[in-house]
Amino acid sequence: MNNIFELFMYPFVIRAVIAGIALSLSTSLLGTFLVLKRFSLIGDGLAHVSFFAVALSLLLGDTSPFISITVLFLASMIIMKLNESGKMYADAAIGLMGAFSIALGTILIQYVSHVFVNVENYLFGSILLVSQTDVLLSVLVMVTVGVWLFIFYRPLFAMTYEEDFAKVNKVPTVFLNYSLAGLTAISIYVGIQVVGTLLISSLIIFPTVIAMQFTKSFKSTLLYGALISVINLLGGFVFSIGFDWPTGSTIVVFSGLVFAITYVAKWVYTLSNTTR
Amino acid sequence: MINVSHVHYVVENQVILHDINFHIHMGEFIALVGSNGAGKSTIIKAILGLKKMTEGVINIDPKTTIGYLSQIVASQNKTFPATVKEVIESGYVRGSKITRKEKEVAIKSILKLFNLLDVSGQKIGLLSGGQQQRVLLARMLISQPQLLILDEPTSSLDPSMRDYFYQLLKDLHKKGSTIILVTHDVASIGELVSRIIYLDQKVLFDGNFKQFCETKELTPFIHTHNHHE
Repeated sequence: MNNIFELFMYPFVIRAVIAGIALSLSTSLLGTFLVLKRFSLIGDGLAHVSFFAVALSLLLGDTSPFISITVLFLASMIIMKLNESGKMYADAAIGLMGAFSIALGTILIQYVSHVFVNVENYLFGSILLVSQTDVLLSVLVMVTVGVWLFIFYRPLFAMTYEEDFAKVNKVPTVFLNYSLAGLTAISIYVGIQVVGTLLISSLIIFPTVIAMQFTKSFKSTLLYGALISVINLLGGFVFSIGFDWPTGSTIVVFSGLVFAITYVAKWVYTLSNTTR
Repeated sequence: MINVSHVHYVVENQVILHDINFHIHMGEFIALVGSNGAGKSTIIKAILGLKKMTEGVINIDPKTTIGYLSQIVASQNKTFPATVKEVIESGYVRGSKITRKEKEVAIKSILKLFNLLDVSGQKIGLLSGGQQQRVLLARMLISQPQLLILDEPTSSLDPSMRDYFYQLLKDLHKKGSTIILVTHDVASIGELVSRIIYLDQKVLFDGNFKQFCETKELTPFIHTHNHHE
Protein backbone atom coordinates (compact mmCIF):
# COMPACT_ATOMS: atom_id res chain seq x y z
CA MET A 1 0.00 0.00 0.00
CA ASN A 2 2.89 2.33 0.83
CA ASN A 3 4.03 1.97 -2.77
CA ILE A 4 0.73 3.45 -3.94
CA PHE A 5 1.23 6.58 -1.85
CA GLU A 6 4.83 6.85 -2.93
CA LEU A 7 3.61 6.95 -6.50
CA PHE A 8 1.95 10.28 -5.74
CA MET A 9 5.42 11.78 -5.51
CA TYR A 10 5.84 11.42 -9.25
CA PRO A 11 4.80 14.39 -11.42
CA PHE A 12 3.11 12.17 -14.04
CA VAL A 13 0.90 10.64 -11.32
CA ILE A 14 -0.02 14.09 -9.98
CA ARG A 15 -0.81 15.20 -13.56
CA ALA A 16 -3.00 12.12 -13.99
CA VAL A 17 -4.88 12.77 -10.74
CA ILE A 18 -5.46 16.47 -11.49
CA ALA A 19 -6.62 15.78 -15.05
CA GLY A 20 -8.76 12.88 -13.86
CA ILE A 21 -10.50 14.84 -11.11
CA ALA A 22 -11.11 17.82 -13.39
CA LEU A 23 -12.46 15.56 -16.11
CA SER A 24 -14.66 13.54 -13.78
CA LEU A 25 -16.21 16.75 -12.43
CA SER A 26 -16.97 18.12 -15.91
CA THR A 27 -18.33 14.87 -17.33
CA SER A 28 -20.52 14.16 -14.31
CA LEU A 29 -22.03 17.66 -14.27
CA LEU A 30 -22.68 17.60 -18.01
CA GLY A 31 -23.77 13.97 -17.71
CA THR A 32 -26.68 14.85 -15.43
CA PHE A 33 -28.25 16.93 -18.20
CA LEU A 34 -27.30 14.46 -20.95
CA VAL A 35 -28.73 11.45 -19.09
CA LEU A 36 -31.97 13.23 -18.18
CA LYS A 37 -32.39 14.56 -21.72
CA ARG A 38 -31.79 10.99 -22.99
CA PHE A 39 -28.72 12.19 -24.82
CA SER A 40 -26.10 10.26 -22.88
CA LEU A 41 -24.94 8.16 -25.84
CA ILE A 42 -23.44 11.30 -27.32
CA GLY A 43 -20.27 10.17 -25.51
CA ASP A 44 -20.11 7.00 -27.59
CA GLY A 45 -21.01 8.82 -30.78
CA LEU A 46 -18.33 11.47 -30.34
CA ALA A 47 -15.80 8.79 -29.38
CA HIS A 48 -16.43 7.28 -32.81
CA VAL A 49 -16.00 10.70 -34.35
CA SER A 50 -12.63 10.95 -32.63
CA PHE A 51 -11.39 8.12 -34.88
CA PHE A 52 -12.04 10.34 -37.88
CA ALA A 53 -10.33 13.21 -36.03
CA VAL A 54 -7.22 11.06 -35.41
CA ALA A 55 -7.14 9.99 -39.08
CA LEU A 56 -7.47 13.61 -40.21
CA SER A 57 -4.72 14.76 -37.81
CA LEU A 58 -2.37 12.07 -39.12
CA LEU A 59 -3.16 12.92 -42.70
CA LEU A 60 -2.48 16.61 -42.09
CA GLY A 61 0.59 15.82 -40.02
CA ASP A 62 -0.67 17.85 -37.08
CA THR A 63 -1.39 15.89 -33.89
CA SER A 64 -2.08 18.92 -31.69
CA PRO A 65 -5.44 18.96 -29.87
CA PHE A 66 -6.75 21.68 -32.18
CA ILE A 67 -7.90 19.44 -35.05
CA SER A 68 -9.47 16.80 -32.80
CA ILE A 69 -11.30 19.36 -30.67
CA THR A 70 -12.57 21.22 -33.75
CA VAL A 71 -13.81 17.99 -35.37
CA LEU A 72 -15.52 16.81 -32.17
CA PHE A 73 -17.07 20.22 -31.61
CA LEU A 74 -18.43 20.42 -35.16
CA ALA A 75 -19.74 16.86 -34.94
CA SER A 76 -21.58 17.69 -31.70
CA MET A 77 -23.16 20.71 -33.42
CA ILE A 78 -24.30 18.53 -36.36
CA ILE A 79 -25.82 15.98 -33.97
CA MET A 80 -27.70 18.78 -32.21
CA LYS A 81 -28.87 20.23 -35.52
CA LEU A 82 -30.17 16.83 -36.68
CA ASN A 83 -31.99 16.34 -33.38
CA GLU A 84 -33.35 19.89 -33.22
CA SER A 85 -37.13 20.24 -32.99
CA GLY A 86 -37.51 16.46 -33.01
CA LYS A 87 -36.58 16.14 -36.70
CA MET A 88 -34.53 13.06 -35.84
CA TYR A 89 -34.34 11.00 -32.63
CA ALA A 90 -31.19 11.70 -30.62
CA ASP A 91 -29.97 8.09 -30.72
CA ALA A 92 -30.43 7.98 -34.51
CA ALA A 93 -28.53 11.26 -34.98
CA ILE A 94 -25.70 10.04 -32.72
CA GLY A 95 -25.51 6.62 -34.40
CA LEU A 96 -25.55 8.15 -37.85
CA MET A 97 -22.74 10.57 -37.05
CA GLY A 98 -20.63 7.91 -35.31
CA ALA A 99 -20.90 5.34 -38.11
CA PHE A 100 -20.24 7.93 -40.81
CA SER A 101 -17.14 9.23 -39.00
CA ILE A 102 -15.65 5.77 -38.44
CA ALA A 103 -16.17 4.92 -42.10
CA LEU A 104 -14.70 8.22 -43.27
CA GLY A 105 -11.77 7.82 -40.87
CA THR A 106 -11.07 4.31 -42.19
CA ILE A 107 -10.93 5.63 -45.76
CA LEU A 108 -8.71 8.57 -44.76
CA ILE A 109 -6.26 6.36 -42.90
CA GLN A 110 -5.52 4.52 -46.17
CA TYR A 111 -3.76 7.68 -47.31
CA VAL A 112 -1.53 7.94 -44.24
CA SER A 113 1.81 6.38 -44.98
CA HIS A 114 2.96 5.68 -41.43
CA VAL A 115 0.47 5.21 -38.64
CA PHE A 116 1.96 5.81 -35.19
CA VAL A 117 -1.07 5.31 -32.98
CA ASN A 118 -1.07 3.10 -29.91
CA VAL A 119 -4.36 1.30 -30.51
CA GLU A 120 -4.63 0.13 -26.90
CA ASN A 121 -4.21 3.66 -25.56
CA TYR A 122 -6.75 4.95 -28.05
CA LEU A 123 -9.34 2.32 -27.17
CA PHE A 124 -8.82 2.11 -23.40
CA GLY A 125 -7.00 5.33 -22.55
CA SER A 126 -3.87 5.93 -20.59
CA ILE A 127 -4.33 8.37 -17.76
CA LEU A 128 -0.66 8.10 -16.76
CA LEU A 129 0.41 9.47 -20.12
CA VAL A 130 -1.63 12.69 -20.03
CA SER A 131 0.40 15.68 -21.09
CA GLN A 132 0.65 19.08 -19.40
CA THR A 133 -1.56 20.47 -22.19
CA ASP A 134 -4.21 17.83 -21.39
CA VAL A 135 -4.07 18.81 -17.70
CA LEU A 136 -4.49 22.47 -18.55
CA LEU A 137 -7.30 21.70 -20.95
CA SER A 138 -9.15 19.51 -18.48
CA VAL A 139 -8.93 22.17 -15.76
CA LEU A 140 -10.05 24.83 -18.24
CA VAL A 141 -13.02 22.70 -19.29
CA MET A 142 -13.93 22.06 -15.64
CA VAL A 143 -13.86 25.78 -14.83
CA THR A 144 -15.92 26.60 -17.95
CA VAL A 145 -18.50 23.93 -17.10
CA GLY A 146 -18.67 25.26 -13.52
CA VAL A 147 -19.21 28.86 -14.64
CA TRP A 148 -21.74 27.78 -17.31
CA LEU A 149 -23.68 25.81 -14.72
CA PHE A 150 -23.56 28.62 -12.17
CA ILE A 151 -24.90 31.19 -14.67
CA PHE A 152 -27.53 29.00 -16.35
CA TYR A 153 -28.55 26.64 -13.54
CA ARG A 154 -32.23 27.62 -13.43
CA PRO A 155 -32.83 27.76 -17.23
CA LEU A 156 -30.94 24.46 -17.59
CA PHE A 157 -33.14 22.83 -14.97
CA ALA A 158 -36.34 24.19 -16.55
CA MET A 159 -35.22 23.05 -20.01
CA THR A 160 -34.20 19.57 -18.85
CA TYR A 161 -37.47 19.05 -17.00
CA GLU A 162 -39.73 20.27 -19.82
CA GLU A 163 -38.28 21.92 -22.90
CA ASP A 164 -41.59 23.34 -24.20
CA PHE A 165 -42.27 25.07 -20.87
CA ALA A 166 -38.77 26.56 -21.00
CA LYS A 167 -39.24 27.78 -24.58
CA VAL A 168 -42.55 29.46 -23.73
CA ASN A 169 -40.72 31.21 -20.87
CA LYS A 170 -38.11 32.59 -23.28
CA VAL A 171 -35.28 30.32 -22.08
CA PRO A 172 -32.57 30.32 -24.79
CA THR A 173 -32.93 26.56 -25.32
CA VAL A 174 -31.02 26.53 -28.62
CA PHE A 175 -27.98 28.18 -27.05
CA LEU A 176 -28.14 25.95 -23.97
CA ASN A 177 -28.46 22.75 -25.99
CA TYR A 178 -25.61 23.67 -28.31
CA SER A 179 -23.37 24.81 -25.48
CA LEU A 180 -24.09 21.54 -23.65
CA ALA A 181 -23.08 19.61 -26.76
CA GLY A 182 -19.99 21.76 -27.35
CA LEU A 183 -18.73 21.44 -23.77
CA THR A 184 -19.39 17.69 -23.93
CA ALA A 185 -17.32 17.45 -27.12
CA ILE A 186 -14.31 19.12 -25.49
CA SER A 187 -14.69 17.01 -22.33
CA ILE A 188 -14.77 13.89 -24.48
CA TYR A 189 -11.52 14.85 -26.15
CA VAL A 190 -9.84 14.99 -22.72
CA GLY A 191 -11.73 11.91 -21.56
CA ILE A 192 -10.44 9.79 -24.41
CA GLN A 193 -6.90 10.27 -23.09
CA VAL A 194 -8.05 8.96 -19.70
CA VAL A 195 -10.46 6.07 -20.33
CA GLY A 196 -10.27 5.70 -24.12
CA THR A 197 -12.95 5.74 -26.78
CA LEU A 198 -14.64 2.52 -25.72
CA LEU A 199 -15.23 3.59 -22.15
CA ILE A 200 -15.80 7.35 -22.34
CA SER A 201 -19.61 7.07 -22.04
CA SER A 202 -19.16 5.59 -18.58
CA LEU A 203 -17.79 8.90 -17.24
CA ILE A 204 -20.96 10.62 -18.43
CA ILE A 205 -23.53 8.01 -17.43
CA PHE A 206 -22.36 6.27 -14.22
CA PRO A 207 -22.17 9.22 -11.78
CA THR A 208 -25.70 10.41 -12.57
CA VAL A 209 -27.38 7.01 -12.55
CA ILE A 210 -25.61 6.10 -9.29
CA ALA A 211 -26.66 9.40 -7.66
CA MET A 212 -30.23 8.94 -8.93
CA GLN A 213 -30.51 5.74 -6.86
CA PHE A 214 -30.69 7.76 -3.64
CA THR A 215 -31.28 11.43 -4.43
CA LYS A 216 -34.64 13.21 -4.56
CA SER A 217 -33.64 16.63 -5.82
CA PHE A 218 -31.93 17.83 -8.96
CA LYS A 219 -29.36 19.83 -7.05
CA SER A 220 -28.33 16.86 -4.92
CA THR A 221 -28.09 14.68 -8.04
CA LEU A 222 -25.63 17.15 -9.52
CA LEU A 223 -23.59 17.42 -6.33
CA TYR A 224 -23.55 13.71 -5.40
CA GLY A 225 -22.93 12.82 -9.06
CA ALA A 226 -19.82 15.00 -9.02
CA LEU A 227 -18.63 13.50 -5.72
CA ILE A 228 -19.28 9.92 -6.89
CA SER A 229 -17.46 10.63 -10.14
CA VAL A 230 -14.33 11.72 -8.27
CA ILE A 231 -14.56 8.72 -5.90
CA ASN A 232 -14.94 6.35 -8.88
CA LEU A 233 -11.95 7.87 -10.59
CA LEU A 234 -9.68 7.80 -7.55
CA GLY A 235 -10.93 4.35 -6.49
CA GLY A 236 -10.33 2.92 -9.94
CA PHE A 237 -6.96 4.64 -10.13
CA VAL A 238 -5.72 3.22 -6.81
CA PHE A 239 -6.98 -0.30 -7.60
CA SER A 240 -5.42 -0.23 -11.04
CA ILE A 241 -2.05 0.61 -9.55
CA GLY A 242 -2.45 -1.90 -6.72
CA PHE A 243 -3.37 -4.79 -9.01
CA ASP A 244 -1.53 -3.58 -12.10
CA TRP A 245 -4.75 -3.47 -14.11
CA PRO A 246 -5.43 -1.08 -17.04
CA THR A 247 -6.49 2.23 -15.42
CA GLY A 248 -9.38 3.21 -17.71
CA SER A 249 -11.00 -0.22 -17.45
CA THR A 250 -10.52 -0.36 -13.67
CA ILE A 251 -12.23 3.05 -13.26
CA VAL A 252 -15.21 1.79 -15.23
CA VAL A 253 -15.39 -1.56 -13.40
CA PHE A 254 -15.15 0.30 -10.07
CA SER A 255 -18.02 2.57 -11.21
CA GLY A 256 -20.04 -0.47 -12.23
CA LEU A 257 -19.57 -2.03 -8.79
CA VAL A 258 -20.60 1.18 -7.04
CA PHE A 259 -23.70 1.26 -9.25
CA ALA A 260 -24.52 -2.38 -8.44
CA ILE A 261 -24.14 -1.75 -4.70
CA THR A 262 -26.37 1.36 -4.72
CA TYR A 263 -28.92 -0.34 -6.97
CA VAL A 264 -29.21 -3.40 -4.69
CA ALA A 265 -29.22 -1.20 -1.57
CA LYS A 266 -32.09 0.85 -3.00
CA TRP A 267 -33.99 -2.32 -3.95
CA VAL A 268 -33.57 -3.76 -0.42
CA TYR A 269 -34.58 -0.43 1.14
CA THR A 270 -37.71 -0.18 -1.04
CA LEU A 271 -38.60 -3.81 -0.33
CA SER A 272 -38.19 -3.42 3.43
CA ASN A 273 -40.35 -0.28 3.39
CA THR A 274 -43.17 -1.90 1.38
CA THR A 275 -43.28 -5.08 3.47
CA ARG A 276 -43.32 -3.17 6.73
CA MET B 1 -54.17 40.29 -27.51
CA ILE B 2 -53.94 37.30 -29.88
CA ASN B 3 -54.86 37.42 -33.53
CA VAL B 4 -54.93 34.19 -35.53
CA SER B 5 -55.33 34.90 -39.22
CA HIS B 6 -55.69 32.43 -42.11
CA VAL B 7 -53.61 29.74 -40.44
CA HIS B 8 -53.04 26.52 -42.36
CA TYR B 9 -51.01 23.55 -41.21
CA VAL B 10 -50.26 20.65 -43.52
CA VAL B 11 -48.03 17.67 -42.69
CA GLU B 12 -47.14 15.17 -45.41
CA ASN B 13 -50.13 16.26 -47.51
CA GLN B 14 -52.48 15.81 -44.56
CA VAL B 15 -54.41 18.92 -43.60
CA ILE B 16 -54.29 19.40 -39.83
CA LEU B 17 -55.59 22.98 -39.75
CA HIS B 18 -57.45 24.79 -42.51
CA ASP B 19 -57.92 28.55 -42.62
CA ILE B 20 -58.15 29.17 -38.88
CA ASN B 21 -59.21 32.68 -37.90
CA PHE B 22 -60.04 34.04 -34.47
CA HIS B 23 -59.21 36.92 -32.18
CA ILE B 24 -58.77 36.68 -28.43
CA HIS B 25 -59.17 39.81 -26.33
CA MET B 26 -57.55 40.52 -23.01
CA GLY B 27 -59.56 39.13 -20.08
CA GLU B 28 -61.43 36.50 -22.09
CA PHE B 29 -61.85 32.92 -20.89
CA ILE B 30 -61.89 30.67 -23.94
CA ALA B 31 -62.66 26.96 -24.10
CA LEU B 32 -61.05 25.41 -27.14
CA VAL B 33 -62.95 22.20 -27.79
CA GLY B 34 -63.03 19.48 -30.40
CA SER B 35 -62.55 15.74 -30.84
CA ASN B 36 -59.19 13.98 -30.66
CA GLY B 37 -57.05 14.93 -33.65
CA ALA B 38 -59.09 18.08 -34.35
CA GLY B 39 -55.93 20.21 -34.22
CA LYS B 40 -56.46 21.82 -30.78
CA SER B 41 -52.95 21.16 -29.45
CA THR B 42 -51.45 22.16 -32.81
CA ILE B 43 -53.04 25.61 -32.79
CA ILE B 44 -52.03 26.03 -29.13
CA LYS B 45 -48.41 25.19 -29.99
CA ALA B 46 -48.56 27.65 -32.87
CA ILE B 47 -49.80 30.42 -30.55
CA LEU B 48 -46.97 29.59 -28.14
CA GLY B 49 -44.41 29.72 -30.94
CA LEU B 50 -43.53 26.04 -30.51
CA LYS B 51 -44.74 25.03 -33.98
CA LYS B 52 -44.32 26.81 -37.28
CA MET B 53 -47.45 26.89 -39.40
CA THR B 54 -47.50 26.21 -43.15
CA GLU B 55 -49.36 29.45 -43.86
CA GLY B 56 -50.99 32.31 -41.99
CA VAL B 57 -50.11 34.79 -39.29
CA ILE B 58 -50.38 34.67 -35.51
CA ASN B 59 -49.88 37.97 -33.74
CA ILE B 60 -49.47 38.12 -30.01
CA ASP B 61 -48.56 41.15 -27.94
CA PRO B 62 -44.82 40.62 -27.24
CA LYS B 63 -45.17 42.05 -23.74
CA THR B 64 -47.66 39.34 -22.75
CA THR B 65 -46.35 36.92 -20.15
CA ILE B 66 -47.59 33.39 -20.82
CA GLY B 67 -48.13 30.45 -18.51
CA TYR B 68 -48.35 27.07 -20.22
CA LEU B 69 -49.48 23.70 -18.99
CA SER B 70 -48.81 21.02 -21.58
CA GLN B 71 -50.79 17.88 -22.28
CA ILE B 72 -47.87 15.66 -21.31
CA VAL B 73 -48.49 14.17 -17.89
CA ALA B 74 -45.52 14.48 -15.59
CA SER B 75 -45.88 10.89 -14.36
CA GLN B 76 -44.46 9.74 -17.69
CA ASN B 77 -41.09 10.59 -16.21
CA LYS B 78 -41.03 8.81 -12.85
CA THR B 79 -37.28 8.75 -12.35
CA PHE B 80 -36.52 12.44 -12.92
CA PRO B 81 -34.72 13.62 -9.79
CA ALA B 82 -36.52 16.83 -8.88
CA THR B 83 -38.49 17.77 -5.80
CA VAL B 84 -41.92 19.37 -5.91
CA LYS B 85 -40.42 22.63 -4.65
CA GLU B 86 -37.69 22.65 -7.32
CA VAL B 87 -40.27 22.18 -10.09
CA ILE B 88 -42.52 24.95 -8.76
CA GLU B 89 -39.53 27.27 -8.30
CA SER B 90 -38.59 26.76 -11.96
CA GLY B 91 -41.76 28.72 -12.77
CA TYR B 92 -39.64 31.80 -12.04
CA VAL B 93 -37.25 30.90 -14.87
CA ARG B 94 -38.22 33.94 -16.93
CA GLY B 95 -36.86 36.08 -14.13
CA SER B 96 -38.79 38.28 -11.76
CA LYS B 97 -38.28 41.45 -9.81
CA ILE B 98 -39.21 40.00 -6.43
CA THR B 99 -36.59 39.10 -3.84
CA ARG B 100 -35.50 35.61 -2.85
CA LYS B 101 -37.40 35.91 0.42
CA GLU B 102 -40.59 36.99 -1.38
CA LYS B 103 -40.20 34.02 -3.71
CA GLU B 104 -39.95 31.66 -0.74
CA VAL B 105 -43.15 33.14 0.72
CA ALA B 106 -44.95 32.86 -2.65
CA ILE B 107 -43.84 29.23 -3.08
CA LYS B 108 -44.99 28.35 0.41
CA SER B 109 -48.37 29.93 -0.12
CA ILE B 110 -48.93 28.21 -3.49
CA LEU B 111 -47.88 24.88 -1.93
CA LYS B 112 -50.53 25.48 0.72
CA LEU B 113 -53.13 26.53 -1.87
CA PHE B 114 -52.66 23.31 -3.83
CA ASN B 115 -52.41 21.13 -0.72
CA LEU B 116 -48.80 20.21 -1.53
CA LEU B 117 -47.02 21.51 1.57
CA ASP B 118 -46.44 18.02 3.01
CA VAL B 119 -44.86 16.73 -0.20
CA SER B 120 -42.76 19.78 -1.09
CA GLY B 121 -39.49 17.87 -0.51
CA GLN B 122 -40.69 14.71 -2.28
CA LYS B 123 -39.50 13.53 -5.67
CA ILE B 124 -42.19 14.65 -8.13
CA GLY B 125 -42.21 11.36 -10.06
CA LEU B 126 -43.33 9.47 -6.96
CA LEU B 127 -46.53 11.48 -6.53
CA SER B 128 -49.92 10.47 -7.97
CA GLY B 129 -50.91 11.79 -11.41
CA GLY B 130 -53.30 14.29 -9.84
CA GLN B 131 -50.69 15.60 -7.42
CA GLN B 132 -48.16 15.99 -10.23
CA GLN B 133 -50.70 17.92 -12.28
CA ARG B 134 -51.21 20.26 -9.31
CA VAL B 135 -47.45 20.79 -9.08
CA LEU B 136 -47.31 21.76 -12.74
CA LEU B 137 -50.27 24.09 -12.29
CA ALA B 138 -48.48 25.71 -9.38
CA ARG B 139 -45.33 26.06 -11.51
CA MET B 140 -47.39 27.81 -14.18
CA LEU B 141 -49.15 30.17 -11.77
CA ILE B 142 -46.23 31.10 -9.49
CA SER B 143 -44.98 33.84 -11.82
CA GLN B 144 -48.52 35.25 -12.22
CA PRO B 145 -48.61 35.29 -16.04
CA GLN B 146 -51.22 37.40 -17.87
CA LEU B 147 -52.19 34.69 -20.34
CA LEU B 148 -52.79 31.10 -19.23
CA ILE B 149 -52.81 28.36 -21.84
CA LEU B 150 -53.82 24.95 -20.52
CA ASP B 151 -53.92 21.85 -22.70
CA GLU B 152 -56.40 19.34 -21.19
CA PRO B 153 -55.27 20.04 -17.63
CA THR B 154 -57.96 18.03 -15.85
CA SER B 155 -57.22 14.69 -17.51
CA SER B 156 -55.51 13.21 -14.46
CA LEU B 157 -57.49 14.97 -11.74
CA ASP B 158 -60.21 13.29 -9.69
CA PRO B 159 -63.71 14.89 -9.84
CA SER B 160 -63.38 16.88 -6.60
CA MET B 161 -59.95 18.23 -7.58
CA ARG B 162 -61.28 18.98 -11.05
CA ASP B 163 -64.13 21.07 -9.63
CA TYR B 164 -61.68 22.84 -7.33
CA PHE B 165 -59.46 23.49 -10.34
CA TYR B 166 -62.32 24.95 -12.39
CA GLN B 167 -63.20 27.19 -9.45
CA LEU B 168 -59.58 28.31 -9.37
CA LEU B 169 -59.67 29.18 -13.08
CA LYS B 170 -62.91 31.11 -12.50
CA ASP B 171 -61.22 33.14 -9.73
CA LEU B 172 -58.15 33.80 -11.89
CA HIS B 173 -60.41 34.97 -14.71
CA LYS B 174 -62.24 37.30 -12.31
CA LYS B 175 -58.88 38.76 -11.28
CA GLY B 176 -58.15 39.60 -14.91
CA SER B 177 -56.26 36.61 -16.35
CA THR B 178 -56.84 35.70 -19.96
CA ILE B 179 -57.34 31.95 -20.23
CA ILE B 180 -57.34 29.49 -23.12
CA LEU B 181 -58.42 26.07 -21.95
CA VAL B 182 -58.25 23.06 -24.25
CA THR B 183 -60.85 20.58 -23.04
CA HIS B 184 -63.43 17.92 -23.90
CA ASP B 185 -65.41 18.77 -20.79
CA VAL B 186 -67.80 21.36 -22.25
CA ALA B 187 -70.61 20.39 -19.90
CA SER B 188 -68.62 21.28 -16.76
CA ILE B 189 -66.79 24.30 -18.06
CA GLY B 190 -69.46 25.78 -20.36
CA GLU B 191 -71.03 28.09 -17.77
CA LEU B 192 -67.65 29.44 -16.64
CA VAL B 193 -66.15 30.45 -19.96
CA SER B 194 -66.90 33.58 -21.92
CA ARG B 195 -66.52 31.90 -25.29
CA ILE B 196 -66.25 28.46 -26.87
CA ILE B 197 -64.27 27.77 -30.03
CA TYR B 198 -65.10 24.39 -31.57
CA LEU B 199 -62.38 23.10 -33.85
CA ASP B 200 -62.32 20.26 -36.33
CA GLN B 201 -59.48 21.14 -38.70
CA LYS B 202 -61.32 24.45 -39.10
CA VAL B 203 -63.33 26.63 -36.73
CA LEU B 204 -66.85 25.17 -36.81
CA PHE B 205 -68.23 27.24 -33.95
CA ASP B 206 -67.23 30.45 -32.17
CA GLY B 207 -69.69 31.78 -29.59
CA ASN B 208 -70.96 31.47 -26.02
CA PHE B 209 -72.17 28.36 -24.19
CA LYS B 210 -75.86 29.14 -24.72
CA GLN B 211 -75.34 29.42 -28.47
CA PHE B 212 -73.21 26.24 -28.37
CA CYS B 213 -76.05 24.28 -26.75
CA GLU B 214 -78.53 25.65 -29.27
CA THR B 215 -76.43 24.44 -32.18
CA LYS B 216 -77.99 21.07 -32.96
CA GLU B 217 -74.93 19.62 -34.69
CA LEU B 218 -72.85 20.17 -31.53
CA THR B 219 -75.20 18.80 -28.85
CA PRO B 220 -73.97 15.18 -29.35
CA PHE B 221 -70.44 16.44 -28.57
CA ILE B 222 -71.52 17.73 -25.14
CA HIS B 223 -73.29 14.48 -24.26
CA THR B 224 -70.64 12.11 -25.62
CA HIS B 225 -67.81 13.77 -23.77
CA ASN B 226 -69.81 14.39 -20.64
CA HIS B 227 -70.60 10.66 -20.59
CA HIS B 228 -66.91 9.79 -20.93
CA GLU B 229 -65.87 12.05 -18.09
